[in-house]
Amino acid sequence: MTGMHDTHHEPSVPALEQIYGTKVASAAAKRRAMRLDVTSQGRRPGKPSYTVLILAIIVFVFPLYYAVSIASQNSPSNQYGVRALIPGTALLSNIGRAFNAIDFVQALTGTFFVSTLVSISTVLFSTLAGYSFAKLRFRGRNFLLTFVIATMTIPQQLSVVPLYIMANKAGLYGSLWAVIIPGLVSAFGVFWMTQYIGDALPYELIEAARVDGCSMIRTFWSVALPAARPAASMLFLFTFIGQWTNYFWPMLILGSNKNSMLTVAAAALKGAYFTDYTMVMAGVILTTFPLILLFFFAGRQLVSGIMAGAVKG
Amino acid sequence: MSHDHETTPDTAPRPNRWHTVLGRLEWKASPYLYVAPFFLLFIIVGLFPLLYTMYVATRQYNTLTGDGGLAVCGSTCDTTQSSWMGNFLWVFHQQAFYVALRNSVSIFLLSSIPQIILALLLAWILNANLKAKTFWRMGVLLPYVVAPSAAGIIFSQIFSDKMGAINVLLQQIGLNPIMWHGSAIWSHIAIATIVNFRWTGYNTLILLAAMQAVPQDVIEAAVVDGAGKWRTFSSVTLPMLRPTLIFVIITSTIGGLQIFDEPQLFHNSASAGGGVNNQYLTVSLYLYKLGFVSVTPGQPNMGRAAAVAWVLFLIIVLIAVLNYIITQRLASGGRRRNDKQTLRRIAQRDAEERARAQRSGYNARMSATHEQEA
Amino acid sequence: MNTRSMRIIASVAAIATLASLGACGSSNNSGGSAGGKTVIKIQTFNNFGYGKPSDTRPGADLWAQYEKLHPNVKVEETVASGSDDARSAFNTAISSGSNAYDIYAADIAWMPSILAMPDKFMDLKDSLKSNDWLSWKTKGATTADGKVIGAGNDIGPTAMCYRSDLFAKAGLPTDRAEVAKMLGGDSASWDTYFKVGKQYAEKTGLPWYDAMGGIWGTMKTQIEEAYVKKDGSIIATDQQIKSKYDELTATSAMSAHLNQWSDDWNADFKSDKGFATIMCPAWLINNIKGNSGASFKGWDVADVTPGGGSNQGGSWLVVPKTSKVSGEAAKLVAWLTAPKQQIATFKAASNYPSSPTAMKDPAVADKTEPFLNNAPTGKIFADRAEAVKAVPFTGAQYYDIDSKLGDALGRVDVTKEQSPEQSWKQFVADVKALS
Repeated sequence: MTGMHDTHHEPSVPALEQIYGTKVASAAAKRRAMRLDVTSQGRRPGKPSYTVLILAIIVFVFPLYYAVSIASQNSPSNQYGVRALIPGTALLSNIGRAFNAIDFVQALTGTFFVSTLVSISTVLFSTLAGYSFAKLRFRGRNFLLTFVIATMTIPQQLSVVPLYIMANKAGLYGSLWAVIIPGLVSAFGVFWMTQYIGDALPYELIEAARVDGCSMIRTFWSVALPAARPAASMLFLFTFIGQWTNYFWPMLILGSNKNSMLTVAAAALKGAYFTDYTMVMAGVILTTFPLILLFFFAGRQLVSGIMAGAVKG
Repeated sequence: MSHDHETTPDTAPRPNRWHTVLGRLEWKASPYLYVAPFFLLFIIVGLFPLLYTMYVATRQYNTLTGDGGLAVCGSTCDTTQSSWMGNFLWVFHQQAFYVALRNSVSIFLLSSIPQIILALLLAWILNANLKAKTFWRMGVLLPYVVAPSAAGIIFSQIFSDKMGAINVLLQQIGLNPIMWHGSAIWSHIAIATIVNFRWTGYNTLILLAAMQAVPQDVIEAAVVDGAGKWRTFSSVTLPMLRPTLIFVIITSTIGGLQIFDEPQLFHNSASAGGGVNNQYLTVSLYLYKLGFVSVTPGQPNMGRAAAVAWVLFLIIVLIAVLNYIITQRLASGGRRRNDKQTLRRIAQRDAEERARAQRSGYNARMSATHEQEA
Repeated sequence: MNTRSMRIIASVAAIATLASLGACGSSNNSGGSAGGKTVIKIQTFNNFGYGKPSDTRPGADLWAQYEKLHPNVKVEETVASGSDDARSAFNTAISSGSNAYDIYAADIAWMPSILAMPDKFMDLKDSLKSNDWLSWKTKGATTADGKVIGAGNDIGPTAMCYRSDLFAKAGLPTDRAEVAKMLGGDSASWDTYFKVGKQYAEKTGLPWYDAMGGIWGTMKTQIEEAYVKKDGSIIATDQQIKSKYDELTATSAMSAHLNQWSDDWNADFKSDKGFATIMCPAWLINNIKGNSGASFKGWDVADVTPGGGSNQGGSWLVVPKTSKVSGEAAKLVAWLTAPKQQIATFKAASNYPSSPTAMKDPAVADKTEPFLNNAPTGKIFADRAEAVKAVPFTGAQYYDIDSKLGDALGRVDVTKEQSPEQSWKQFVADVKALS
């Protein structure tokens, strides 16, 4: 950060200090800080900041509002345009219709089942492998870890063709297992847990457990797992949301068994003779609502999960 | 990772404490046992499909009739010879493939550039000493829980050609409606908007975290030196965000080039999307249409789709590498070459930043997989 | 806060997973017996009108009837949301032989592939003995060696639907007999249709038809060998199609430039500035009604098809050999496609019967449609079915080529970014690339 004062028209504070002494310099520093809204707690936000934020949030919420508003229209129609900016009163009855049309209970259970199972499995296997990579020394460790990192960037789309062929050969077409099995492990998860456990779990704790005569699995269970819990919860949350919002693969492999996952069911809500958007949007709401609910409870965790990596650096 | 801990469990065995051979064996075998479930499953659902794609890509593979030997490019390349390159050659002869590639790149640029600029602005604002910090942060993250497919459905109503909310408003103020589906560039903008809706807030938080890691005293020093708001941001904050930005850009490349849900549901019509002139056919949509929509007996629909998958993969790797090189070059171009000590300090700071970014990169990458998970 | 809410989430997740474990085994295993009953699984799409009526899918409630007749049988119908979805499920099941349904509804567009793999399907000839079909309908599912692998369900005889309110405003006749006469009656040609359209469009500034794709949908069915010759050679880019393509693309000024089946197309059915005419196969009436709203007044149908009779769409029922209850399935297929049931689905869902006996039945022949200004749809579609002369030969690549031609028309009509010549050039390249 050198060289700033020779391009700027104002003399720098150190320069002022040299010329006019400490008092003038500190007064100048204060004045400038005031002008730039900087306090020792950080920049002081002004009205423009709040205005931009409010605008941003309005933009982010508007599409959801529009969906709710269309879903609440009183007369079914295939298109609304701006009329639907003003909500109607039929929200509940439209949701009820969508509820029946997509067999919501089945789709919700199915989606929940897939997301939960995939998340549990990802977290479990990632934590195990992450612990091993981060804290244990073994032959081939570096090679295997490099392998994990290298495979992280491989797009899963690359594999839809063989996965499709394999799932068919296994007789899993149309079954939720065809969605679950490919998601059971994640190279990311392993990388993430390796990073976290490497930082958060001191060797001393493992040593101590070992000195106490704990078996390895016991050490993992009672020392590593508790230490990894914050990262594991994050991984769970993000994997869960990732599966819940997944569309491409379930759409491909579930076939006409559309009622088994919400995203696919909602996208298939178009009618046989005309598309009633009150119902389609109601379906979208039904798909999204459970996650919004989750967001209200775990939004803080999501925020800190996204920020965690960088902050800890 | 913790190089300062030289004593590892295995280097200091204490036989007197370990009563059984079994116990020792457990400690020896455990590292492998713990990584084994991951690798076993990964080989089945990750590695094997990858190689199998390569195999299918060289075959005359049809959904209905199965594997029909080595691929034949056919009259497209004026040959009846079968060769392992048949499907690849066929794909490279398709105009639609290049159009799809163009669209994917265009949509990716239209989504990632504004997204990063907006995210930087929002992160900069959020980085101030705001009231109700958590509220604002959650607020910008809200769209993240909306599935891309759901967002696609909602925005298809906003971007409808005749009756869509935007066009009706445009017409009411006397302007011409926009051909959201008919025009290539407008359809890209519409699709990019759907992507931006979901990911801007997410990237804002990643950048916010990186900004918070910029030490307050460095900023204060800049202020004291007489730098203005913009100057402080561009000369102090922005350079320190570089590693994080690299990760955000690379991951949005991986996600952006694979975009499927948004264009498919934006399409808003019967049959698979892309538009009559492939205006918004992305590479993934092309793969889908080739492999899963037109299944004519005798044609290697799966083989061709697999070939597209591999080409897409190679392009993504290439762009990610290019991205990395360019950002590195740009970043080092403006740096002053000082004495060895400064260089060492810079290198050290870089290493720290990289480590930090790798961690924050995790989330960004997660975001990429979520988009591509399939 | 942090760990506590995480713990709550975790325990909720755990409980729900355990709870949902039991609920997830509901995949489509092929039929068999459940509780002593034979279960027959059938996949349909859009609306075949078999099931219980609902507000989006009218139906004749045939399953309840059949189960009453056969107390040991239980029918489970899966309705795919569209024929594309249904087809990919069908393809997969047929190729892998796993998770197949016992009966599939097959769209006309699938028949070339089905006929190319006759070994995978049951020969239904014997089970269908007592049913009757129009001869070309039976031919559509008969293999070269005489096996009948599909039972005809409905057909799509095509008439012309029109907006009498818009016709009145433009000073055209509104009476359906006069409208038919205006277009040339039995010898109605595309030429006359486009001439009237030109006048209409010039006078009102409004579109005459919905989309070139829609007109083409009718035009192509009037050619016996459109894209592929019976010997397998491809003639899609020859003069025959080119001249029709030129005739159609020259009428751009009277098109509404819509993408068929898009939301904008749907919305235009009831618009004051909407298109005035549309080629309507019998099954399209449901879409017109749905898109305009049942209370909308203005749509009518004339007993005329420019260019001669046309059959668009229609479906069959097939039984894959993998079905474990193929015998029962064949019985059900025979029952569903018998005249009586065809009449029932026509009454409920306007799917026009492919059985001559059913067509002659008063319930079909005398049917009037209140939505279309009480038009005698039973009689009109019977006439239209009779007028069908050509049954297009649909070789293996027919539908691939057709979708490319649809794209070509779209580039001229919908996005208007290419001239007809440019678009044709691309079509020629596309066809070449197909093989």
